[in-house]
Amino acid sequence: MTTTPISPRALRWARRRQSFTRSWNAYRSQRTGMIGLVLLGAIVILALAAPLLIDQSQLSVTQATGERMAPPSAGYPLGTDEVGRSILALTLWGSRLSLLIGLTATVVAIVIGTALGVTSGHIGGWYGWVALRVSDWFMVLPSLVVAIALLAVLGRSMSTTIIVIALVSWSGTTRLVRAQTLTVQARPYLERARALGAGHWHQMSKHILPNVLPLVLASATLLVPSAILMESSLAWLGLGDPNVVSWGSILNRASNNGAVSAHAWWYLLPPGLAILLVVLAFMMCGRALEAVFNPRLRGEQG
Amino acid sequence: MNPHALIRRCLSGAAALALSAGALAVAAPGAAAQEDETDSLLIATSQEVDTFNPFKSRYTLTYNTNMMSYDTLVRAGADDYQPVPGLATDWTESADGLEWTFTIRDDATWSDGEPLTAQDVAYTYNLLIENPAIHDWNIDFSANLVSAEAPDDTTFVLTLLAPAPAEVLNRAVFVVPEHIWSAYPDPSADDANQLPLVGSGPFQVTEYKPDELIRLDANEDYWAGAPGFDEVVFDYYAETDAAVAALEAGEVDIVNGLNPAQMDALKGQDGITVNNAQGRRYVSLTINHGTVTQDGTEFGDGHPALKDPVVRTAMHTAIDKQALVDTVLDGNGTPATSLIPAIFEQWHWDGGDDLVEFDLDEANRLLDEAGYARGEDGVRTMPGGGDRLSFRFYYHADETNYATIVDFVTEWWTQIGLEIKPEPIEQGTLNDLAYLGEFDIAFSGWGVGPNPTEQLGMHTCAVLPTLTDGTERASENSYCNPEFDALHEQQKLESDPDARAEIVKEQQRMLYTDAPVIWLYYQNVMEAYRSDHVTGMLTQPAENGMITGQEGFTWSYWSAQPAGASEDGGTPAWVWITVAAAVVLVAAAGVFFVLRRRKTADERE
Repeated sequence: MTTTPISPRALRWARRRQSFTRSWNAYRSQRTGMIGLVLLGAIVILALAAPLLIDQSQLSVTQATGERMAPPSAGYPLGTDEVGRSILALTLWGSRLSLLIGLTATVVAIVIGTALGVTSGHIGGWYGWVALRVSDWFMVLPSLVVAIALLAVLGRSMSTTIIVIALVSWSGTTRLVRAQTLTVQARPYLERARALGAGHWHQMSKHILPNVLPLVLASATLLVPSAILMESSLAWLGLGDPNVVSWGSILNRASNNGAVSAHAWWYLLPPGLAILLVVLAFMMCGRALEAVFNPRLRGEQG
Repeated sequence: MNPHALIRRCLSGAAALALSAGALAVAAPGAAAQEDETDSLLIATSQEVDTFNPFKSRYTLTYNTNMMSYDTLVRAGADDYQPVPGLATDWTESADGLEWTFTIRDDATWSDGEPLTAQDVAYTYNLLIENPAIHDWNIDFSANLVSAEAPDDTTFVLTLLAPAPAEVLNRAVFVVPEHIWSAYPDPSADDANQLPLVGSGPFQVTEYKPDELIRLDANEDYWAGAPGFDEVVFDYYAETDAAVAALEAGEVDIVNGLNPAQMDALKGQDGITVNNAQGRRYVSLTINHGTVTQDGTEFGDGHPALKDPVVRTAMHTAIDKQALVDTVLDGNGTPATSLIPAIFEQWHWDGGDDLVEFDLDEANRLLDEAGYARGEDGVRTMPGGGDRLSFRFYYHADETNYATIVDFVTEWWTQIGLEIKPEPIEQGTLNDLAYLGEFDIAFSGWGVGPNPTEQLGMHTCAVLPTLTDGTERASENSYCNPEFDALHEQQKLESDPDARAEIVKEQQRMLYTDAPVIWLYYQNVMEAYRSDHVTGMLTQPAENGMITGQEGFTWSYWSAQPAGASEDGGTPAWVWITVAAAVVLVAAAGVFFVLRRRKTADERE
């Protein structure tokens, strides 16, 4: 009998594929997760295609052609703002910035959180203690107040907004990742790896990180909507980058220019509903992912 | 205890509660009626108070409370801003223009009952001359004063260094009571004038709660006649939208600073009158053309290209002021030329042959000819290479209109090869940076009075700072031009109004073509009031005039009368009577029921 020798690499990939398929099947069985995914896909496609659908010149104030705060019409399906720009164009282009800031801030927060979580859990000792206290400190700070104060000091721009949002939202991930690291740490194969002479780096990168990543993914998906909400809140308070259009900044302009008194619902609703939809989509995906990686949350399902 | 007794107790308890509720309901309308006996004029505001010290305050809100609490000798009239008698019934100027004699009215009293005499007036003007801090805050006026004397109770004599008729008659010097102020260790200190203020005006500030309200009580013995309202209350609303909602609900009587959308929303509503009046404010862009001190020390970090008048003119040419008026103000204003708004026709300069027309090609041509070549990224550089023309553009974070203007101007200036970096900044910080010279382009704006000297004076060499720390803030933009100064001295002395107007217009032409400041527009005053609560308010000027933002005296608040006092907007009396009757009926029924139950129970036992 001959056996085809399987290379370790191929074996590893086969296993990954298998585990991915298993997770995907578990995810697919959840209706809300699939709805969220479809919704999210549609929003991302719209955001990416915005330049093809609507020319950037529609955002220009000097080239605006519409009436002042006109209600929806054939030419302007969602009405116009106070200088005569199309609200549809603003909302569509605003999605790019809101998503960009939300995603980037989340990535930064997750990288900080995961790095600190894994190292503090694995290395422990005084370093772990200090890392934990630092994350505790960030956790108890009221995030919106800190964000406003930081933006006032750092100035208003897209990059500072991203940094500030990341700074106030990384600490939760640290806690989560550290707990999971400690669980993984206690498993026998890590003891075996240590016995075979694996260093800290090898243990963390080859054994711990792959095991905490699914959890990180789920937590990241739940962090994005809060980052988007935070960006919108800051922009609505007038602390956003004045040179770009985001959903929050549209709402800020609407309320500053008397859209509430004028009952210009077409100015307030589109960006508001867009925020709602994106946050909802991310929450649905995040909850479903959590259930996939934490079977206890999955409940009674086939 | 037997169960019946328990039920009885519960029922009689309920009956007692119902009865007391009925009593309350009957008492309530009486209490409400009592509160309504004070007629209050409620004005929405959002500005903070800098100080109630009338020599020091600079904000619009405290200027208003000063005008209400105190009086001036002469005031700007409601009809056309011409000087009319205030505390002085009559005044004469000596032949050389250096000595002014005022006759002080003998029927004016302070709000604490003491009579107001010429001694109080002399005391006030002497504070300007002798108190170092008060003297410095008002340096443009007080430097010209020599002495202030009161030979008797109704005569006041003011002696000047140089003739300045317009200054003497238009300067708002609020007369303060000597018998109160002489007790203060330092009349220039912020806490010198404690509440309630003692003044001779129609209303005195009696209460101030930051971010909540300022209350002013009417002076029933006011010499020009008691005001129609018993009190004026400035109510704080952080957002204009909130103030508009309060106006609609009848919780506030006067709201100003409205935007076009809010005006449209309020137009035609029952009981609300909107007023769209020509304003006396301008909005301008200050360009950092190099900040210097009296002795020529340069400070600040303005971009070197802005020292070149060609660059400034090109920037001026690339602004479509009419478009700004049309979109930002929805047509409620006029494009500006210089610093005297069109409302003051006799001083306003309309641009004449020098009027800069919006023309992007012309702006580009000017910059091309001056050697500012475009780099690879489309941004111009200094002649012969070097610094890119990249300018910081600071605007007030709380001014919505400014944000929209910034959007427009940035797009235009980008098209002439400038890189613009807009940045919203809080008002206080922006002022600090501006007076330190640490900016390239910044927003500014002033409410202009009927005397052009004050505005023009901010552009003379005499008011340049002596220090570089940004604390001396008399100069608007470090403008210093000896030719301009010579004209300025000339117009101050000129007694013929037409000749003076010619000089004033020439000064404006100089500023306009030199462009240290670009004036954008004169905005209308957009305000609304409850015409079912308030009536009879005088506007200034008489024709198409404003209610808020008046100059010299608050004619509107003094003349305002309560309207339609019978409708108080609360619950009508018959509702209270019906409710009370129903409650009494229910209670009676309850008592009757209890008694009957007791009776039957008694019978059964």
